[in-house]
This record gives sequence, C-alpha cells and structure tokens, in this order.
Amino acid sequence: MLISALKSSSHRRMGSRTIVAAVLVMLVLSASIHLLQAAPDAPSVEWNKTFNGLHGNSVIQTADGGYATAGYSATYSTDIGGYVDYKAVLVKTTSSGDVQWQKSYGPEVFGGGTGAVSVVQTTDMGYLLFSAAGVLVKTDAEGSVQWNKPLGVTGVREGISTSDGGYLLVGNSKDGSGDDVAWLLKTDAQGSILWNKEFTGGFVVYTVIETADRGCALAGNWKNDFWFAKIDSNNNLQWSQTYSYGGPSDVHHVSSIAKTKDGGYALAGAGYWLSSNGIVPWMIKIDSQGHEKWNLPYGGTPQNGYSSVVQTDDEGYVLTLSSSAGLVRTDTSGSERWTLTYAIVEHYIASCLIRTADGGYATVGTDFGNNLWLTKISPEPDFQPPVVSVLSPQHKTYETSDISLTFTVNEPASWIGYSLDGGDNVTITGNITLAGLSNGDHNLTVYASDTAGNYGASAAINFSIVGRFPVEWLFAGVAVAAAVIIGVLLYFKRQALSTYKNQGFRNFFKKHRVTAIAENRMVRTLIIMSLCLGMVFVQIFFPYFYFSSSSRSSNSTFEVGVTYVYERDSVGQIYGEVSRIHDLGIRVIRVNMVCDSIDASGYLNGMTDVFFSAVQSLNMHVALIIKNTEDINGLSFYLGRWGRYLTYVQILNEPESSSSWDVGALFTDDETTSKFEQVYSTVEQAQLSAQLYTNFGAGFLARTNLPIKFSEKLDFVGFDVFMDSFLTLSPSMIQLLHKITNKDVVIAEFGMSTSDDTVQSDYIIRGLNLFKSMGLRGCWIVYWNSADNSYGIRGRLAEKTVGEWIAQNT
Amino acid sequence: MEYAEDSRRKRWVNGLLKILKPNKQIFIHGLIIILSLVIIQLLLDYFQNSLLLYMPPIGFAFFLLISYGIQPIAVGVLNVIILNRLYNCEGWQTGFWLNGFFLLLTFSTFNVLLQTITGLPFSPYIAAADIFILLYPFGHLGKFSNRGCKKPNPQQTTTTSATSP
Repeated sequence: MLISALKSSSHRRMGSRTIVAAVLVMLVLSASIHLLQAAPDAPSVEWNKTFNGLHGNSVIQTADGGYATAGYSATYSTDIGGYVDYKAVLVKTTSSGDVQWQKSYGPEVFGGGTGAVSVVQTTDMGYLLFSAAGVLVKTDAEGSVQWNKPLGVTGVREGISTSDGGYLLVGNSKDGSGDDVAWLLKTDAQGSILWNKEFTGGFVVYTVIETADRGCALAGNWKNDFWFAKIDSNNNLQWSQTYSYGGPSDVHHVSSIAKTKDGGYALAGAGYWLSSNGIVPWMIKIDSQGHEKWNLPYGGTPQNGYSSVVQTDDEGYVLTLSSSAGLVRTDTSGSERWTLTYAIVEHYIASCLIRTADGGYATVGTDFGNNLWLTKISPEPDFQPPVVSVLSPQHKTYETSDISLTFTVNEPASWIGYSLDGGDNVTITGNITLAGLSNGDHNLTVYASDTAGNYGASAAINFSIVGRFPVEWLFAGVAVAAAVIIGVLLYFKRQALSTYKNQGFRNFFKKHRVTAIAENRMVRTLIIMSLCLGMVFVQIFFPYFYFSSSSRSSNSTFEVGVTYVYERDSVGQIYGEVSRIHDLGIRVIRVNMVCDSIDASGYLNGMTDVFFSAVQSLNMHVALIIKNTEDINGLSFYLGRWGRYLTYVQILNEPESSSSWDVGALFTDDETTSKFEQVYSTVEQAQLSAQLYTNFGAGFLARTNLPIKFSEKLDFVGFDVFMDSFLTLSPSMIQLLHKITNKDVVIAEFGMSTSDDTVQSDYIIRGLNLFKSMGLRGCWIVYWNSADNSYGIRGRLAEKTVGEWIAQNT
Repeated sequence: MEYAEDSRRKRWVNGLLKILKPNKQIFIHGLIIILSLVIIQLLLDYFQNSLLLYMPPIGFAFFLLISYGIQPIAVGVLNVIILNRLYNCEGWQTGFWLNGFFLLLTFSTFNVLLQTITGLPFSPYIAAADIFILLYPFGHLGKFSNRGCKKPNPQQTTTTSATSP
C-alpha cells in the first residue's frame, strides 16, 4: 500500500519533491527509534554539562583547551507571555566542562536585544562578544569588560574574527518597503567599522566564514531558495548563487558553511516543505565557484534541520541537527555513516558544533526548560591500523654490518617491534641500530600497534650486506709501515754512526761530515715537521672527537629550538604548527620579523598576532631575528606591538659575512658597527626583558673584532653550523668564539640542506649530542619549514628523531 | 750467550734511563722554555682582544704574525742559546722557526687537550699545570728538537791548525 501510494505520488509530483515527501512519511514512523541508535563506529559522549537559566548560542575552544560559551539569560514573564530581562552571558569552563567563571552583562553593556550570538578569543587571551543588538563587547581573560562599541546595526546573526585581526559580522534588517536586507560589516581590532555591504531584495543571511583568499563567504536564503555569496579580499562581491528546489511555496535556508579540502564549500540548512508540512535537513556541496556538485535532503530526521556542519579529516562531514540533540556523520559524498543522539532531552535547539583539538566535537544548545547544554563528544573510534613506513634500511646493498633502523608511524603507537629474517618480534621504543648483521641477504618488517589496538605492518624490506674494504686496516698498515721504515732508517743511521765511531770520528768527519750533517738535519726536520702536522690535526679535531665520544655535560638547561618561517604557512595553519613544535619538546621558536608597519591591521600583523597567541598559550620562548637589512621603523613597530612576548632578540644576522645581497651595503666594519648600534639602541628603547644575542658564522675568524665589540652589549653569542664537515670543525671555533667574547654560546642556526631524510636526521642528532656535550646553552635548528623543504624538518624523519632525542636528553 | 744478551739489554735500559734521567741541565732547559712559553701565552691572552680590535684587520694580522711568526722564532732562538750554553754546543740543526713552532705546537696541543677535558681557563690553572707537568718533558723536547755540534776542543783545534799545511 505504501509502495502504491509512493507510485501514485510519483505520478502526481515531479523530481526530488516527491521523493522527499515519501521519505518524510516513511521515516516519521521510525524516527524515535532511529535517533536513539548509534552505529558501532560512532563516537561517544564524553560529558554533558547543563547550566540552568541560560541559552547557548555559540561555543569556542579556548587556547587553554577549555571552552567559552556565549548566550543569554532571560526571565519568563507570564504577564506578557514571553521572556524579559535579557542579559548577555559568557561561561568559561575547563576542558572537562567544569565552570571556571560565568559573567553576565546587562543591556547597558550589550545594547539590549537577545544577548550574545557569537564569541571569539582575542590575541590577548580575552574575549570578544557579538551581541544581537550590534554591540562589540571586549573582555579580558577573566571576562571583565574592557570596552564595548555599538556598531549602529541590529539583527546580528553571527560574528567571527578574521586573520587580519579584525571582525566580520552578518545580520538582517528590513528596508522601507518591508523587504529583507542582509548586511555584512567589517571592523578593525578596536571595533571601528571599516566597511559594510548590503544585499537588498529579499536576502536573509545566517552565517559567515573567512575564506582562504582572505575574503569571506556568507549564506542564508534569498526568498525561498538557498543562497550563497562570495566576497573577495577587496570587499567586492565575486559571485552570488541561489539553489532552488521543490515548489514555489517550499522554503529553504543555509544555517552553516564549512570550507572543504577541495577548495569548495559544504552548506547545511533546512527545507520547509509546506505542502507536506515537513522540515528536512539539507546539505549542498558546491565547488569553489558555487557550482552545485550534489545536494541531499536527509530523510533520517523529519521535522528537523541542520544547524552546523564541519568537515572531517577524511573529507566526510559531521552535522548537528537543529531541533534535537543528534549528530549525523556522512562520507565525502554525503551518505550517512552513523548518527549519534548525544542527549535525551525534549525540545532541544542546537546552536553550534565545533571540532575540538583532540579530534572530537563540542556542541552547545538549549532545551525547553531554559537549560544550556554543553556537550563534549569523543573522537571517532579508530579502526584504522597505523601506517608504518621504513626509511632505513632500504632495498639495497650495504657495506656495513651496522644498519640504522629508522621508521615512521603515522599515529601514536602503544607498541613497536620488528622482525628480522622471519625471526621473533623484537620490541623497540624508537629508531635503533641493527648491529652486527651478518653478510648476506636479509629481510625486515616493522610492526606497530596504535592506542586503539590496531596493528599495522610495514612493507617487507629486503637488503643485503657485503664485506667492506677495510680502510681502517689500510690506514693502520700504512702507519705501521711508516713507523717501521722510520725505525729502520734510525737503526741504520745508528749502525752507520757506530761504524763511523769504531773507525774513528775524525776519519768519519773528514770523509763524510757535510753529508752526514745534512742527512741528520733532514731526518730531524722531517720528523719535527711530521709531528707538527700531527699536532695541528690534534688541535683541530680533538675537541670534536672528545665531545662526540659520549655525553660530557649534564646541562639540563640545554634549549632545543627551531626556526619557524610561519609567513610561508597559512594563518589557519600557524596554531597547529606551533602546537606540533611544542609537542616535540622544543621550547624556543626563532622567527623572522614579520609585520606591516604601514597598515596596523594588515594581513602580516594578523598573522603575527596569531603566532604570538599560539606561543603564549603554549608558554614557549620566542627568538626574534632582526636581519641586517631590517627597517628601523618596522622594528620599532614590531617591538612596540609584540616586544613583551620576546625572550631573545637577535641583533643582526652573521654580520661578519656582510655582502651586498645580504645586507645592502654593509661592507666595512664601520657600516656594520653603525647598523648594530642603530638596532641595539632601538631595542634598548623598547625596554624589553629579552636577552640579546648576535649569531656569527665561521667568517668571524677573519673579523674577530666584530664579536669582541658586539659582545660587550650582548647576553650571549650565537654560532651557525650548516655543513657536515663544518660540524667537525665547529668545537674549535666555538671554543675560540667563547674565548674572545667571554659569553655563553648558543648554536643559533643548525641545519643541513639535503633531500636525504636519514642523512639530515643523523647530522642533526650528532650535532645535538655534540653541543649538549660541550655544555652550550642550546641548539636551534633551521628550519621547521623551508621553501623547498630541503632544510625543513617538518614531516621528515628528523622531526621524529629530534622529538625522541629531546625526550631522552632534556 | 745469555750473559751477552743480558749485558746488551742492560746497556739499553741503562742508556734509556740515562737519556730520561732528570738532571740539572734538563731541569734548567725545561724551566726556561716552559716559563717563556707560559709567559708569552699569558701576554698574548691579555692583549689578544686589544690586538684584534686594533685597526681591523691589521691587528688581527699582527696577532697572527706574533703568534705564529715572532713567537716561534723567539722560542727557537732561545732553545738554541740554551743548548749551546748548557751542552757546550755550537750551531743548530733545525731552523729557529721550525724548532720554536714545534715547541709551541707541543705546548698548545697539550693545552688544548687539557682545556677540552677539564674545561678550565689557561690562567691560572692550565698555566700552573703546564709548569709542573711539562718542565722535564720540555727539557728533553728542547734537546731532541735541536742539537748542534759539540764545540771542538780548543787544544785540539790549535794543534790541528798548527799541523795544517
């Protein structure tokens, strides 16, 4: 009967409208059962927190891992049959959802209306609330109001922060004829309006996001259709697109936008089908130019819509339903993978869904009883085995019996082991050296188990070992032969002298005096010259071999750092990269002076704001590089804005190697010294608590006056090491630099440009061992990321080995 | 046969002991050489930065000239003078510079080893250690690195001259 009804329905109606209506009818019957069931691969609810008397509109994860929730409180008046006495509310919780503090702001602060619609965290760890009445409310980290600024608009739907440090707001109003008008407004970091834009003629906006090109996208509906508009970075409308489904009486709107990894967008919202009196959650996937790739009215939850969408790591989607406490997970084509009911509550209105740093989710919503619900949902269960990649050995023949076993595992492992030549698994904790391997063919497989118990194995590596030509024995043989020859020479010399002595010195000198003396002098001179040469070698190489042989210093303050060129990354990437560096155990990040002194709210400054926000929240040290060509006005601007966050300031970069391409025209000592003094006085005027240093390369040997002179004003000196052969010579140079400056030495730039991951990793680890053994104050690696990544360690073997070294040695 | 071997071995040992036996000449020789090297090193350390800062790079070049040019020659000349005086020699077999350079390098190599291992500065710790440890070795080294010829007996010379045609 149902089928015949569907068939007859399909005859009467055309297209997706019929299908949606049929699905609605069918699924109304099973809705309650369906919602309460979760697939086995669905995540679980970690915790639910309720706050009585509050309405939740927005939630963010804060830099400390906790949550900030914005909304409002109101009192229900039976006299007028509605809510009165609205107050904006900001609730700060820990990562476990426990309340740290809660603040209410009266109408005199937020301008009346229905409280706060959005919240963002600012670079000073404070918060900025966007009120529905069009007021920006800036608070400190404890929620105390610092300033508020009315923008002269009402009907705010959402506010976000942008990468340039400013804010974007969207909202709706009516024009003179009563038509809907959507507006978009941009402010700077202080809340001053930079520009605004209106969309007249029936547009309603619900949401806005910043796009990768530093423009933005907003969405809502135009009359009854889904609507999406793209704005470029110069505030111009690039394109605007509507998406029409169903009949003329069916209403649709977009509630949320997610940027997708393919450069497009996912739109989530709802369709109100008046003819069938049903509401359908709806999702549309569009490309970067707004062309629809697919759209899916989701039949699983009738009388509901989507309120938020986020994209997952595998390019699927997680959406929150607007009128029930449910999540829907889809694959990349929108097909359902699982659903989750995260709270058993009636008349629930979901407002916001975010991804959390641990890969899970957090939602905020309100139930009919006037309770705000904050929910933390775990990351999805892991059924994927870890991917194990063996970097060394490779499929080749080696001439040594000691092979380095280096590998990577793409996720944290609870167990790692290897099997050699089909033998039993040997448990290991990280990279090791397979010592004493026999000549012949070998095969090796590395296994790993992730924290969820999934086992992964690398591809089997087949390699061979052949005997190596014994170079050491050759050298030893040559040395012994030389010693024997010298001994024999001396013996025969003595024999000859004895003979001559027996014959009488007088005759000997008479016959051979000149020759004998010449020979004697030559032999002696040769011996002395050989000894001199040997001692020169000892002086040059002994420090390296001595300090490399084993750890000599227990210097626990040895600081491992890295130079991060964050201006090469996108704004959205910076926090994650800093966090990744922090997780390795690196505590110093060395950065270029990235700023725009002309435009205080410029993109570069926003980028640096984000960087310092990240390092502050992770309590890391920052070393600023002031290059030889740096503009003094720019430096003053930078130090004024971010100077208080700096731990180290590098005054000039390898000034002894000044050349026209590097520093402009600092050829002479006078020019270099003058630039140093200029930068130093600028830094001094800023009255920073940072320690000052200058880094030198090997060229300081020829211009020793520079480190001697500069070090009088420095707290320590830096030394740069770039090549493997140079690493061997570096201890002698470091000792000399320390001697002439009488300052502690840090290796300010230590790296190697190579595409061979193993070579780079070995070199860096050897350097770290050497410099720590020498008792230096630290070693800062160049780079975390570089233009062609030949220097960079990010994502390469060195990232892993450096992390392991730090865990073991500091 | 056994007696002959024992006798030969004894001669070797006695010869070696004789060579290494501390005596007044070795002591004076070593003391003068090592003291001069230590004093020069202390002076160079004291004036090093002043020299390096003097009209760069002239000061630096001057420092190198003193360290590896003048200092070895001075030490070499001193060694020959001591040899000639103490051992009644005349002339020399190894050039002044090479002789001084050898002694200087031996001295500085020992200092590098000691400073690397102990991490102590030259003044006063390594300097004091040099004087105590290197005194006798440098007496032997000074003698080994250069000799000269035994001065001919004046009587013999006269006689020879008299009998010469």
